[in-house]
Amino acid sequence: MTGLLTDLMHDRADRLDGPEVDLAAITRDGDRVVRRRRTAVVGVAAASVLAVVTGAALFGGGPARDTDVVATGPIAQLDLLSWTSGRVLHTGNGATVELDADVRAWVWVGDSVVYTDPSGRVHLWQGGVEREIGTALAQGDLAELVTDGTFVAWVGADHRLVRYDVTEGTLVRAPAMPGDRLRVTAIDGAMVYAADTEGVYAWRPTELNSYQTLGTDPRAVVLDAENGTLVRTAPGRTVVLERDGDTLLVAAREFADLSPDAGLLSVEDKDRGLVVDTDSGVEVTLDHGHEWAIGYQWLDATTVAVLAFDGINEDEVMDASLLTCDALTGACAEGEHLGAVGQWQLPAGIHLAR
Amino acid sequence: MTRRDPAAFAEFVAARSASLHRTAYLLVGDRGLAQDLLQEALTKTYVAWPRLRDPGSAEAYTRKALTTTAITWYRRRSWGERPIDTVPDHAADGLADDVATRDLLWQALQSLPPRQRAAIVLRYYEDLTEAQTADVMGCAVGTVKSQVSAGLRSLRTRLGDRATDSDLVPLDLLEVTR
Repeated sequence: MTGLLTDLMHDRADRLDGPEVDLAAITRDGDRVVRRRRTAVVGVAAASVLAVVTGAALFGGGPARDTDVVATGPIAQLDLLSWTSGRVLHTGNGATVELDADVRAWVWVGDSVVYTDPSGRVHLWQGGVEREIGTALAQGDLAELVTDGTFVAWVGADHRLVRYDVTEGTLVRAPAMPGDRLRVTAIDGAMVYAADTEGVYAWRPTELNSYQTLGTDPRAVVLDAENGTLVRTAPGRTVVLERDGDTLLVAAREFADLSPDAGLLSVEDKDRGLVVDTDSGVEVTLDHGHEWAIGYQWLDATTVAVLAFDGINEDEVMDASLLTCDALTGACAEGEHLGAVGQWQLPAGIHLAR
Repeated sequence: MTRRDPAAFAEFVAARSASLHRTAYLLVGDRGLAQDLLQEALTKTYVAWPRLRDPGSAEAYTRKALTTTAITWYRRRSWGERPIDTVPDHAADGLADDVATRDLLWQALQSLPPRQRAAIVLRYYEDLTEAQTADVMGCAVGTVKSQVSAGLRSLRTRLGDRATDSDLVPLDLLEVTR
């Protein structure tokens, strides 16, 4: 008798198709690592490298950069770092707000705050007044709330998408989608993007009873959408930008955040926080000085808030810091030391568990 | 294997990638991630290639890279979207209980902390000794024992009365092996 556990592992492993190993990518990436090590020895750092580009053309002639900072409010200074600890919201200028409940995941929506609490209630804090606006399903460590600055979307307790207009105070529910494990992944004004076990969807809340199936491959999830630019996941540690029929492939893990005008994309690859210019494909490596980092929120058109970790390969608790980085030069400034994961949450709509 | 010989490396990849891919899949539980994990571990192997004296060393190195990379991925991967990879079992009614038990065990294995899961995969899939497992994981033998023990305890708890201890892992495999 081999034992249920061993038998199960062999059974599941034997069902796999053969791997598709990209030998060219291995040698290219490996040679790059070797070159980087050699370069480091002589004390020269490469400031930027070109993104991996395929397709007919790079993006060009994109919309002009919008340098306006998002509107500020009584507490909100959206050009500052912000985080929550328990039920207290902190901003980098020292201001704090005590919310009604502990924060599980949260986002800025304009100068309002929308957050989920541990019971799944969705709260809106607006101008010092707080009220409940719905209930949301917990999504593990995936996004529970997504926003484009005006609207916020989540998956309701009835397993249907919900979009809430913070300005109007109106809530719209999507029709039921066919698969399991529905989660909302991106929102761009009139369009909400979602994925479940059966596919990837775009839902336009003005069309109450219909949605569009973008594909049945649940791996091609829409990670972000701004100004008509879509960012999707793709196999092989890659995200794909799509705009006006052109595509740009960027080596990255499963997170990507477009700047408000979609001119820049924040990603992480091989522990490096990167910003990619979506017009030229040029990458800028963030000079963050930590073991691992990622830009998670755009504070303005070219400044990104960065979460950085140290102790990531150790058994000890990972130590987190917030920084602000200039996406054009890669220069970073230390912001706040947050300490261990699980004691704070960032305005990214994701619950960061210990 | 004293220099970074692309042809020799390609030969190694062609010969061993299927087996390594299966281990990667068990370590991360997702086909797409397993593919990425294998790619990353092979890249590390390619970088280390001049130091690896023979294909056996290269395979051991890659297996170690798979394991340590999978563990650290979990620490990094509390951030971001994750592709879905659901592989449901289907069976006739008479086999439904068995299928349900196996699905439950698979889900329980997926939910183990990464070190416990790695220790169990290395011990009961790769059939490594505790000392070999400790070497791959870069930890003490005592840590392997505790990780395996905690992992098996969690699996038993999840299975409830669907399986006995000896159903899960034969008693002879629970004995210490060095």
